[in-house]
Amino acid sequence: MFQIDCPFCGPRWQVEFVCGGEAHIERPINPDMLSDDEWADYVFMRTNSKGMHYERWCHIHGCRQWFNAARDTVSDKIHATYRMGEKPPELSS
Amino acid sequence: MPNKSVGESKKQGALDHCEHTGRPAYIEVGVTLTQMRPTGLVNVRVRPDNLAVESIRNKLGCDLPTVPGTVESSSDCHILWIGPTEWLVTMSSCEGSVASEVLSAALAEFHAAVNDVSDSLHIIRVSGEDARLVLEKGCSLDLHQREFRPGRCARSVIAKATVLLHQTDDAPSFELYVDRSYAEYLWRWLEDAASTLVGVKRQE
Ligand SMILES: [Zn+2]
Repeated sequence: MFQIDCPFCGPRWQVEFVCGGEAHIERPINPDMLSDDEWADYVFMRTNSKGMHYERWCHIHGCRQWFNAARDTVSDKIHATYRMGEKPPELSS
Repeated sequence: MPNKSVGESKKQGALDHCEHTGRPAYIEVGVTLTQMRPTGLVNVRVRPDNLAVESIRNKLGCDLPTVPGTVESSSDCHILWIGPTEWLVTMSSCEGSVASEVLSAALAEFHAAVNDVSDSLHIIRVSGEDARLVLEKGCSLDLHQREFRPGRCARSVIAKATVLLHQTDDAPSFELYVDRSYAEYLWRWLEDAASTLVGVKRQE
């Protein structure tokens, strides 16, 4: 059974969660100044890392909170979970 | 006499037709399933700063629990923790519309959301010495008494249905808050889970 450590509820079964894609993507503060390429990069382009990947998860069938997780995309091991607004931990896969 | 029912607004529970299907299974197994009839259920969202907690305490005589997975109770009310800014308030003494007015008044000064959810949730009580055995067939929560005790609650999944589970006593009894549309499915699943335990017990 795959467990995810919710920063609020503690370890829970993975079926209680949904993944919301890559984390720490900031909306540009100067949208009027962006070129089409820059917009495309913000909207569509993701890192697709092999190894450590920082992503957003939501405890949808639990406390309903969004949080971040650092997951190794090769082993599927989740190395850390942390709340929204917190800095990602320094990790290497 | 069809005329007699005109004008009567007796609410019908989603499980009213299920309760008569009682099989001896769950008496033998030591589990009793009961459809609960609460009066007022209100979902509350607010940032739990001291003033908001105090305002709710003054109106309801009950604290807002801020420790994840805990329940605060008074004589006629339970407040169940759902998330860091979300609770379910259950009132046994008044309808949901009255309960939501009381809570709206308590939180009028705050950035808050108060919603009467009395008709959207059903409560199934699973009680008896084998209640844990039945629930564990479809729920991944650790319900062992070293982890889960009366006064604890958790929102989780039981047999694919999202459920808010509240342990109310040491019997043990668990009250399952489930969306109305899932209530019959969950009831029938619980009956089935209990009935399969009969075989397990006889083999012992
Ligand atoms: Zn959670």
